Amino acid sequence: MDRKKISSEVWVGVVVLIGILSLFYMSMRIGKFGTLHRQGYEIKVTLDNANGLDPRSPIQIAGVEVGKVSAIKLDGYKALILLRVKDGVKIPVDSKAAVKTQGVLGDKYIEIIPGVGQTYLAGGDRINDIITVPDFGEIFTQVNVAAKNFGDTMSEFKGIIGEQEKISIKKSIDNIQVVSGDFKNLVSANKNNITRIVTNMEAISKDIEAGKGTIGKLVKDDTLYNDAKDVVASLKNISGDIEQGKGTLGKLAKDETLYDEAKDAIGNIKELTDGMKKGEGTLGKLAKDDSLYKETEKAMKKIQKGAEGLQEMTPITILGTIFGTFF
Amino acid sequence: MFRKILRSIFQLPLTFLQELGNISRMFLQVTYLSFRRPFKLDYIFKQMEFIGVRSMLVVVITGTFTGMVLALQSSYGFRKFGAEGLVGAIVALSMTRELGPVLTSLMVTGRAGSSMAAELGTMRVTEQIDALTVMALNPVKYLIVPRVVASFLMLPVLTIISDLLGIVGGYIIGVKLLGINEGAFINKIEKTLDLPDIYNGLVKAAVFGIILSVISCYKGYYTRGGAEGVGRATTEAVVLSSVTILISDYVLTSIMF
Repeated sequence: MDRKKISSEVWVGVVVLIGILSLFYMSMRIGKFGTLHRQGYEIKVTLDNANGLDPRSPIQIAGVEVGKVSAIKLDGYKALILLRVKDGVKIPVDSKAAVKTQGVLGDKYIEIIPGVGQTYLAGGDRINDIITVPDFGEIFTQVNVAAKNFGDTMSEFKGIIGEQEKISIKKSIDNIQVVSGDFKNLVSANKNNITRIVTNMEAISKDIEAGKGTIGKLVKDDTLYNDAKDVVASLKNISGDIEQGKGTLGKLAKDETLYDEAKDAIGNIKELTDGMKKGEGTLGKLAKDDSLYKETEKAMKKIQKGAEGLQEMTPITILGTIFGTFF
Repeated sequence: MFRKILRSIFQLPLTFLQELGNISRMFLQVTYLSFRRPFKLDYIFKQMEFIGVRSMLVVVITGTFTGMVLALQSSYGFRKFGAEGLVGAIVALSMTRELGPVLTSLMVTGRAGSSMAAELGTMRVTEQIDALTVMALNPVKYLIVPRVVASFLMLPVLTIISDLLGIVGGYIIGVKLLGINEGAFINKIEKTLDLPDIYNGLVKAAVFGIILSVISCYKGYYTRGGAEGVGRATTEAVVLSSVTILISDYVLTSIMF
């Protein structure tokens, strides 16, 4: 009786042990015994749409899992995803993140495309560069729209083509056929010439390559380039000099004395002209006082008269001159 | 004649309600008594051996073959759209969430529940229960509480064994026999299965353990009418337990998952 009792408890113990071991084994294999927390470091990503992502969705770099999504929160009207990345995985600051779909059934995961920077993200930092991959729904919608447009275009096209147009299209095709036939004949007739042209072209391009001839020199010889470079350098020097106020141009550009003098001169001129306007000085009188003008007019009239008198006397004078010469 | 029909029509819901009330009363009584001294550990362990250990073989066979047939059936379906890697996930999820607890409970009902009803029924019919009452021993405390506690404790243990064996059976059929990619098979299980799937399955199993033991004991305890009554009590115990398990399974699933 005593043995029987012990044996019943032993049996129960065995079964319970098997049960607990099974549970333990399964829990360990699933690997979700809270190991998610407190390991690695956490970085943030803000997405427009976290549809399909779950906590524990994998994070991959080059297809290798490096962590898991630890939380998804609403941040404003965007989704804030917290990524827990394993220690020892360094993610450059200029990395990009993308939500991708695995397989046809649409398991979402986050792919990190590492940048090339030498500084790395620390805990709490954010990946700002998000690559949006259109999901299947969007793609199908777009394809649908495109297909519909294509269909519409085709039906319109069908509507345009009547019997008349069909005939003309046929004619056009016939013409194209004739032309291409002609072209073929032309080519076969001038085969040698074409070959020669091609050979020449080849030779020319070879010459250019070798740096022969003007074009070749232009392409290959860098003296021109160097000269141009020198010129530019000189220009640079000159403009530098001008900038510093060296030389005439520099002085012109930079020295203010000339400007001041010019200003003074213009000021003087202004004074003079003002004086002239008021009738001061000789020039002013000249300009303003009309007595001189009248005098001059009178004098001119007199001179005129005198000249007229002279005119009348001229023949006599000439005669006198002639006589003077002979006698 | 008409009065008789009319009476039985009114009698039916009344009987049902009475039954429900009696079972609830039994359940509350057992719950109360199981926290009261003296704790009859010897009796409890004896029942645990009977319900748990002796049901092992049945549960092992049921679990393994359920997993195997699940793998076979689901791979037939998944092959049509080339997603055979998901067979493992399907087997694991179905076993832990649904088939493990339910099939284990049904097997234990058939094996242990029927025997509980028959045993208590015979005791009632042969007036042993009355004798206990005369000796001022509470028959519910001595006969029913150990059975209910033992079922409550052992059903989860049997279920987890059934879960694991079911997945192993699915693995054998899926990977070894049908040649599904082993990595995909196991990875999908590990990725799809969550701890709550397993734990909620075990909670379900414990609840089913209480249901089947309370109902079976109730049916046996209130047996009337000799050997024929014992047979009827056993049948009713198994049928009512199974139906209640399946109905409450739906309710529990919709609450938990």
